[in-house]
Amino acid sequence: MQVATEITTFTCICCPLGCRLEVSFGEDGQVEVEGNTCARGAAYAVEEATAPSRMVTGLAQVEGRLEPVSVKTASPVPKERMADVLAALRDLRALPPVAAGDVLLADVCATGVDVVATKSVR
Amino acid sequence: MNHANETFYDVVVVGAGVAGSAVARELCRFDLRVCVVEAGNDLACGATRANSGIVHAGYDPLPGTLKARFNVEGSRLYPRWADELGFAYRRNGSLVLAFSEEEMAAVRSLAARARSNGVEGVSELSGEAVRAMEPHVNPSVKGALLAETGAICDPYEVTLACAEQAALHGVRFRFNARVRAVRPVEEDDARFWADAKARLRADADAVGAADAAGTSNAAKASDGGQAARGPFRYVVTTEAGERFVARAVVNAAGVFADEINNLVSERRLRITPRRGEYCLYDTEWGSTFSRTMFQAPSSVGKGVLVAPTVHGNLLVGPNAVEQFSKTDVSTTEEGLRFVMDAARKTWAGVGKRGLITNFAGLRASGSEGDFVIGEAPDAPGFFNVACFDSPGLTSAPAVAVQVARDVADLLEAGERTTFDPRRTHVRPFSDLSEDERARAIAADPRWGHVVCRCCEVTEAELVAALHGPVPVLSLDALKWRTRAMMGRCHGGFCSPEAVKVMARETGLPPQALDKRGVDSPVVVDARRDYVDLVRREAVPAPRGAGARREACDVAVVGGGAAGMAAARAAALSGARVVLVDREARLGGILKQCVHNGFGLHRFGVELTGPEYAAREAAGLELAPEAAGAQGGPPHGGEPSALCGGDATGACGEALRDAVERGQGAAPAASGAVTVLTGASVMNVNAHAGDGGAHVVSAVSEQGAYQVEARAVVLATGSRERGLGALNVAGSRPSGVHSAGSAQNFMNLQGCLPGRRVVVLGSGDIGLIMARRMVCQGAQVVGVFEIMPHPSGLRRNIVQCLDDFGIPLHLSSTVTRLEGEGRLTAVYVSRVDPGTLQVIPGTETRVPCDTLLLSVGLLPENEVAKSAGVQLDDATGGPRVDNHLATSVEGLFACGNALHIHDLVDYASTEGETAGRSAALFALGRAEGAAGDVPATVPVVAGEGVRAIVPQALVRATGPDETVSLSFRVAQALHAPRFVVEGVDGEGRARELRKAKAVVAVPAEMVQVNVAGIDVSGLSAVRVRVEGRALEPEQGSKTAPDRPSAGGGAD
Repeated sequence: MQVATEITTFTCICCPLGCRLEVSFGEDGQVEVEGNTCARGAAYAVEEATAPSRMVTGLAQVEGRLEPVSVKTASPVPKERMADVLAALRDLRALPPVAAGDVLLADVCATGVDVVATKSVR
Repeated sequence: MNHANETFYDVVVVGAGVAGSAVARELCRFDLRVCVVEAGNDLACGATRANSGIVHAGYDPLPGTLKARFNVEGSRLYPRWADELGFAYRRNGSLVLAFSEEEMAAVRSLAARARSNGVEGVSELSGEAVRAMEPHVNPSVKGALLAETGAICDPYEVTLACAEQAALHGVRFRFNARVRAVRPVEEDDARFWADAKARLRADADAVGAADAAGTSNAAKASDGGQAARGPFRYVVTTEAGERFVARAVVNAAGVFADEINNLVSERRLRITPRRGEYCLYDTEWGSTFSRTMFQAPSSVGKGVLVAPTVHGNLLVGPNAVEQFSKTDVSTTEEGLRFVMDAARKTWAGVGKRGLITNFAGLRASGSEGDFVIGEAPDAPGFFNVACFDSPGLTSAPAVAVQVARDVADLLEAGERTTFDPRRTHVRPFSDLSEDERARAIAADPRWGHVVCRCCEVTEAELVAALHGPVPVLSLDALKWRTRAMMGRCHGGFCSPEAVKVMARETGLPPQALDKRGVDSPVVVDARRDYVDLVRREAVPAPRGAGARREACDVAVVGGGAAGMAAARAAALSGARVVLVDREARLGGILKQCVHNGFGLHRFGVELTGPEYAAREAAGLELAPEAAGAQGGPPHGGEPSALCGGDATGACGEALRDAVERGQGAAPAASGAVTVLTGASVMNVNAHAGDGGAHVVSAVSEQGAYQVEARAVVLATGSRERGLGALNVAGSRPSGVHSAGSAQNFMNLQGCLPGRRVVVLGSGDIGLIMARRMVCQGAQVVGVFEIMPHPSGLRRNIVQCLDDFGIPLHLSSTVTRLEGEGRLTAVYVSRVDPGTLQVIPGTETRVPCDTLLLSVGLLPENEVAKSAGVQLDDATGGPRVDNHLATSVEGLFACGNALHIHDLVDYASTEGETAGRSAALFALGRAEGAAGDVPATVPVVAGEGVRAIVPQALVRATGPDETVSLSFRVAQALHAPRFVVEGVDGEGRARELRKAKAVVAVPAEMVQVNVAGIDVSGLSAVRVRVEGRALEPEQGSKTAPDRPSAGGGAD
């Protein structure tokens, strides 16, 4: 009997070529990548298959200021936590003044990543 | 009734179109208390709004009709009314074109009719004479009727002028008051009338008391004139239950005038709305024809007109389609196609190019054909201005004079001696001279805040309109009064700003502010304390100083990514630099791009837009030290406050602080950058200053600046293409935003633009906004892209759409909008990938409340045009050489103003090149004359290449100099090879350089850097591309599951 190996597919974002990347895991846990044109694509595929992550950016209301402060996660968070992080950002309020780089929410959703301001609001 | 004062009037006018408003204006000549009751939320909501704007000479109506009489009289009154009321009126003359013998006969019969109607200045012309007068006319024209008294006006402006003058004379305007009933007083609701009578019995004479109640204000205003007499005859009831009791009623209800008439008169009227659809062209096309170009009537139909407008646009239309609905002013694909096809007979150049919008209006055509004017035979005191279709606009003044006099006679009203026929109104900023602007700003700094850059409308004018005599109840009402948001950007830049001003002045937050009609909110949600916060933010600027002068080596226009980099590079080269930006804070559009993905190439780290902008702004502060130049800190001893490590906000605010303390902007020092924020550059007058320096004119709340500069860098950025260019049919509901405009509302004002969103176009801003909308809790139904490939970066397709499960539909487009107030749905159709034409029968309805447009960016070059800079058709930006010098010596261009970039990093790099070149030129170190044609070799786009920059190479380009050639490929290519060829005097091409890439797509700019090429002996350099087309379907074949592949309404 032939046991089929499950594959996961991604579109590569490393360049406009947009290769269809197929990633599968061998029985030994070895990652196999097919469809890539270059090494960057292979590395991206492995990361997307094993630990996909995204930067999350957004806004927080500032008390007494019309303009919201723009925020980001200080580093990428696991992709599957994006929705949680976004939900947390929606409720985020800040008090002026805010300086770019200020931590507005530490360890967001227990990801170990802080949410920081990306601009200053006086 | 608690407010008897507001209930009793001498005259109630139903309808605030041009007829009702003109009548109201004429009624002011008499001692009458008048109220105008209007169903819509603004003046001119009906037939007047969407109208050709023609003041007809009077050769068309049948002799003996009311139309003939009032047309000719109205045409004669117009110049005087225009002068008294101060509205635009241009007697440009009309031509009725004939293309066949049948049509020549029609022209002759019109000439005869003109004589019968008493129209002066009518003559017949030969085809040759027509061609000489109007060079762009279809050369097959055989002859024409010329009517010298034909003229043009803006129907809204005419109405506004009449209404404002009426309001200043005490006429009340009630909007959102649709009339439900008009009844003779005796027949009206018995209880109400008993109430009123009981109240009135308190006085001796019931009618006399009603007189006192009804005319107390007018009586105060009266000055010896005779107040109105006669009984109260009618009760006018609105749908909201409000009652107006009047001695006389004037029915000027447009398409509803039949229904109003039929409420009181047995002489029944029947009005059938006839829709007319129009296409409007950009002002660049306005001068195509100087006269109004009609087509002679023939057995086929009446034809359509092609006419300039008083605002400099070109108008094409209308068709004439009878319809049942009296409110639906949607355009249709067939109608717009008909209009264009019919116009082609007059103007062979008609097409989608240059289109800025389409619209439709309804004519109030009566079943009898003629106007119905005057007192109804069986209803004393009830006056009609009904069945008022063309030439209603022309006839309005004459009809108003007649009807007002008849009403006054009936009511025995005396003349009001205080009537002032002249209206004093605010002269628009765009009409003011340099000196007048300076004086205006000195008196009120808000004259220096240009909100609408396209039409040059200032905050002072918006505020004046908002507190004008006739209330402003919608954003469009503000737009029509001031022309703000009417320009090329379709309000993309200024509507967020105008909304703020409106909230501040009227207390209406954006979710309660109607864009156009009732229930057409601009956005769906905003902070609860929006109005308070806007008001708190509005710190009155200190009094301006009027005229200000600055001198520098290099002036940079625009403080976005390219401009900041240019200013820094110029300062590093030792130049004294003045950087002028229209906004309070530097950074341009980066300020609203809160997402990440910027700066990987320039800073080696991924940044968000505000972070990128802050780094660039901080770079301006470092310039003097890095240059080692003299001159000290850029601003009166406050270097840290100027552009500290703080975000973009610091610069503008520090400058403002400095100015507030009376220090002003310090004179530009060598190797330093002086920043003028909140300053809009109005024009650049090339070589107009001392020693041939360029003069940059700008205004800010601090004054009107004249910045003299040896060199100028144009970094004015880009604007978004609007809906108008796409000629989408349907209604004009709210909820349609350019992606950037929605981004501004969301990221800078904390508003939610919509809840169920369709995105048209897969440009990067659209993709980014699709994700942002989802992140803020909205639902994005899908992204529709007309091309068979996405327009945005691959990374954005994956991370903005795929990550959030948003489908991308390729080869699909939006063809029609639906919704009376707010958008309720769009209609999308499949498109043939080869021809890009809509495939009939593929239309589907997609319910949504918001449409975001991401259909391309256009370089913004109004300032460049003012300086006479030659623009390139392919890029839309100035034509430049490899030093980024434009066709005007000493003027340089960079960033999105030059050509649309995919990454901001490259715009910054380009800014540096422009800044350096400008500094070298200004400091006299540039070799040879830039822009001098023989000194350069043209660069041409060969096969597969488009929008190449630069368009020329300096012949003296040294062997150690690297030349960057940037361009886009025409189609997606696999393994492309880019060939740079030199073409010699005999046209022989030889390969100079060759470069390769893995893939090239139109969405991403290609840059080929070539070092050490010798172009001195060449007549041209050509770039072409070879490669295998990348099939768009390729992806879908290998991966049918991919949501973004293939498209279609799956």
